[in-house]
Amino acid sequence: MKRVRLGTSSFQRRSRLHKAAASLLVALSVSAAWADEPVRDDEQAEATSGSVLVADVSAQAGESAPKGLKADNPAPPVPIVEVPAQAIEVYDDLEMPPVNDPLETLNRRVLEFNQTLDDWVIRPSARAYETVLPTPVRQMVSNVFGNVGDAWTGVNNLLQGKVRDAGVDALRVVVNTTIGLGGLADVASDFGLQRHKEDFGQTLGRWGVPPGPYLVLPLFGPSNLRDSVATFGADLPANPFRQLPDPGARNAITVTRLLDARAKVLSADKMLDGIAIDRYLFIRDAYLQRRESQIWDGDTPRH
Amino acid sequence: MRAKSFCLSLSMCVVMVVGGGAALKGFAQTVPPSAGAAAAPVAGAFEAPDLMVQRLSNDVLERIRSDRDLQNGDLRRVSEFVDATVMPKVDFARMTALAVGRNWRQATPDQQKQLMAEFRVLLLRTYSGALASARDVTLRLRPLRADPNDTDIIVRSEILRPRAEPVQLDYRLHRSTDGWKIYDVNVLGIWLVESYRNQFAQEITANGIDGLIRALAEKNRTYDQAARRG
Repeated sequence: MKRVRLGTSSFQRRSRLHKAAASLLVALSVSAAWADEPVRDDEQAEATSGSVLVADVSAQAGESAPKGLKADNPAPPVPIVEVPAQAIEVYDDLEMPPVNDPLETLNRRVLEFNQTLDDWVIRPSARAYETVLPTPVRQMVSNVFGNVGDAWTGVNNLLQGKVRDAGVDALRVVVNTTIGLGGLADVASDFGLQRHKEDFGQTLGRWGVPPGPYLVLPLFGPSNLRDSVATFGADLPANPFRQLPDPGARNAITVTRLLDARAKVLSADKMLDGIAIDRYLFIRDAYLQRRESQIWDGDTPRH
Repeated sequence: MRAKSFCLSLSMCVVMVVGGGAALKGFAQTVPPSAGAAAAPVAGAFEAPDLMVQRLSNDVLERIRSDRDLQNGDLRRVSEFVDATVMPKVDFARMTALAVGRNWRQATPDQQKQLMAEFRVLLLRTYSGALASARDVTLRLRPLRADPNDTDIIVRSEILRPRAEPVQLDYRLHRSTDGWKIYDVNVLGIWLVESYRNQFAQEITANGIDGLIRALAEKNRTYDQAARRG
């Protein structure tokens, strides 16, 4: 299926840089991309927007190799760095902190299930979604969901005592809903009001609730006990789209949101296979770190 | 050292009054990183770690902006560039040792070299594709929170992109005999070393250190071929 490239739109440019993080976050986004939550999918755009770049990159690598490599003779092997003898010392802290993953066997199976589901159902649908809808339309869809998410983010910021951020979120919602025509355009970002993603799991984390065991949820992907409870107990019920009376409309919106999030990270999992020795561990360790970082907004307290 | 709490002129006065050597010992941190004026390394003192990081980042960004091959992710070019510009400031042995963990001590020097070689290729493959996106990006250093006597610090910075949220980018540095060296990188809250630790440990438990080397080599070979085949 030929993908029509609309050039480097600001949408693509804006989401490119995260490649480095995306390679670590790729499966996180793949698994969680279809989370039926008001805040997650747009967070994926931020946290995993490099996966869009990954999509671009692996599209380059997979379908049309970068110019440097597309030669008649294969490129010579990458040279090995010579290590000076004194550089290899004995380091003090080589011990690893324990990981709370008592359900590893079960989690692994669920992850495999998620990946199968993704391969057979979700990914093809997201590809179709991406092909059928032009970028500006997809951007508008994404913006609308993001706008709704901002309201819940604001509530959570307030609960965490981050009043200034809550104010920014409220302002974002107001600006985007009015000037941005009901959320279709994310004009607030242009005004310098950046989006932050907060969900109830982060709020609980701030309040001191420990994460509990690592869990891989069917369809939702990597999570932990605290965040799962938060998702089902607070994030989902709080989603205004859930209040729509018509189940048909509700489902259509759910599916659209899922595809929107998944489309942003297409081809990302090809990347993960190339760099992870064990997908499950890679996803888990990246997710756990990322989660802590999100809760503390980048300033994870040192142990 | 909160250099930010001093304005540039005040800190320069302090330097002149107290006497260059004493004031510039340790971190050589008399110039706020955001001032832009590079503090020349004083003989006997290492370049301040955050300034070093900033300088390195700017060099890398400049080079990326001007070099098409790097932007395209040409592995060989990236490899050469990294070896020439970045590696001198990285304690890669430490990085690999931490990723490998306890078993590093059991590895022979030859195995350690091989581990480092394969890990390096793995990382290059992973991140070389990201260089294209670095074109319209700037880096901003965040205030350094550290004691002058620390030998292990974290330098925090942010990647600023047009119309998007800043991306957290932190470095762990260790003070070695020839200056501060980077040994871990954090993007969006995820530390590189920590991301590989458990996988490496599992592989070693299953197949030993040679098994890990084999697994990494295999992966590097397979995916490099795949990329070349197009």
